[in-house]
Amino acid sequence: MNSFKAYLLKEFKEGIRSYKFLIIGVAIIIFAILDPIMLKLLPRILASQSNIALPLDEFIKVSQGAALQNYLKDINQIINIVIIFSLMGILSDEAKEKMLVFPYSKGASKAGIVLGKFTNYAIAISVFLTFGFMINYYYAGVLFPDSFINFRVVLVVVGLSSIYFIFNISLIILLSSVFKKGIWAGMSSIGIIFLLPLLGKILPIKRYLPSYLIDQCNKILALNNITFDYNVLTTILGITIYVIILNVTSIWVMNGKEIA
Amino acid sequence: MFEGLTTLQIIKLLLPLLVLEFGLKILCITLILKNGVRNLSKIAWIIIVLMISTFGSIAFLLVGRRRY
Amino acid sequence: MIELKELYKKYGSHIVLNGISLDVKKGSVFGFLGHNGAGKSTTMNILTGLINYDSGIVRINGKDMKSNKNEIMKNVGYLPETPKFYPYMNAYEYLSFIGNLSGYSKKEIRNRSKELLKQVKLESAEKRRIGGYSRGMKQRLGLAVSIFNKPEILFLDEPSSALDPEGRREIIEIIQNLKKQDITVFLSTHILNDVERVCDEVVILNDGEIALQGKLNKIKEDYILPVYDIEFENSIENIKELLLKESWIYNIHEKNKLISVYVKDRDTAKKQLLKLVSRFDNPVTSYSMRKSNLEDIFLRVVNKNE
Repeated sequence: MNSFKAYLLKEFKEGIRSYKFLIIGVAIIIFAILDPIMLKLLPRILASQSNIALPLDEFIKVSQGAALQNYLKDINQIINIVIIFSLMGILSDEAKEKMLVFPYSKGASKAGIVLGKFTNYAIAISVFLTFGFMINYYYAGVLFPDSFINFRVVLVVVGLSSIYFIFNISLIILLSSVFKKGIWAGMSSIGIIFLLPLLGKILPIKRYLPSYLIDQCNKILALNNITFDYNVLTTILGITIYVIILNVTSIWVMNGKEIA
Repeated sequence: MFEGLTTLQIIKLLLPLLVLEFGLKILCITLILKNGVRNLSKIAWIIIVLMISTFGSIAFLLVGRRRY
Repeated sequence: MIELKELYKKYGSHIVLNGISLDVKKGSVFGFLGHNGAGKSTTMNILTGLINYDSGIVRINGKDMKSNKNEIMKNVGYLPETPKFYPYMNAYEYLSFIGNLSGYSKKEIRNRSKELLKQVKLESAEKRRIGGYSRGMKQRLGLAVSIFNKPEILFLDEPSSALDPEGRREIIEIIQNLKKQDITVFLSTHILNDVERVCDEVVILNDGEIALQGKLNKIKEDYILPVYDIEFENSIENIKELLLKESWIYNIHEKNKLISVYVKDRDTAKKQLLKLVSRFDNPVTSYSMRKSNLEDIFLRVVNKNE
């Protein structure tokens, strides 16, 4: 418990001072603002370049829900990569730079270290996502006032996408404990996170995959109604189990790792 | 461009974006000049930060910042 | 206090430690000597639980390392050769972090940190980020970190090697202070001068094996075979070969016009060496007998094993 608290605090400090929070926060918030603005401007830019007066507004009929869907897509792609690159060295760098020698020599528990790091970023990213979606909701509402989306739908989207990212964080932590160099942890994280949804296309396991939550977020935004294909709790339960397995494996890897 | 919105409203909408973007650029340039850089030269990083919006600064903070 | 029996460790096919056994008594300052690469740091890392060992017994305070690692760690302090800190923290924050890890209360952390920063003379730099510290400052902060939890045993890996004479003297003074507090210090170093100043007992490690072990003053007595330094007027070609033919001379170091003759038998040397030297057609400009210091003992022990 002491190790957990010490590392939670340390990781929070590091998040601020090494600009990791800033990078992730700014990326999430800038896209929340930029996204609906671009969506608004794009038809006009296209029109001004084509020289033909196309009734583009009719072609691209954007609603607040569609703007939020677009933001969700960006979060799942660009922001996901930004988070992976920010966190890929979370354990590998510490081991490589021998930063763990003093904590280990004081009997720091590996479980405390792994869970402290995990908890810090799980909370931080959930908070950033909440802000991001709120800002995006506001901008999309102002710019596309024709149709409004139910705020409760947005809250569910925030919750589900946070759970999706919590899975990603524990995966990055595990890969960072396995690889000596952060970049390999990052590359393999990108590989797994973006290939995993394809598995759902081949095998009938779609609803046990974390990416199913993002699919469902898209769907409820499109329908403006909280209804799921399957009981989404099954997916959440599955992810909880995956996260536990991933974290336990990270702790196990760190226990066997020679850091001196 | 934004029909149904006054100029003031448009500025209000864009202001946070500009503040974030320029704040980030100023922070990065300060860090480059004060603490130094990794991987690329100072000039290269300054150009990247100034020319590429958001991602230039993010790339610098991730791989260009000197960690003492 | 510290007990090692037949300790083995290898990396791949390279044997780093080949059956090391030693025994360190409570309250002593134990000098651990050897070349770079002799296995000193590996032994230290095993004793502090940072790396695993292949076979053998490690007991600290009578407790076995493999089954009581965490309990042992609480009573042990370790200063690695190159201490690494989170560079974005300042000294006070890092000590607080260590205090949090060890489960101290806020008040205890504040008092202990202030006390230690004063002891290692970092009070004026406590608010500066560690990333900007000099090597010597990091070493002193490392020492503060290693003794934060008031350990009974302190492992110091080359604590003074990278420091200037002043920094070295400060570290040695701190070690002498620790000795008064009845802390057992396990000191690995290749600066023999430091060892002679603070250590009670020494072990010399060579190629993963113990080459010599004992009380420092006892070793000095045992190894008090004198060394003769002889300086000639002209260059000293083939004098070495001729002298080495004598059975009581076992080693010769030559440098320019100076040779150091290591003899096995003092009495014979007293009578014979001068006669022998005078036979060469090369005038002697100086002739003196040197007592063995630890450096000579070290060289003799290590070379014998080669």
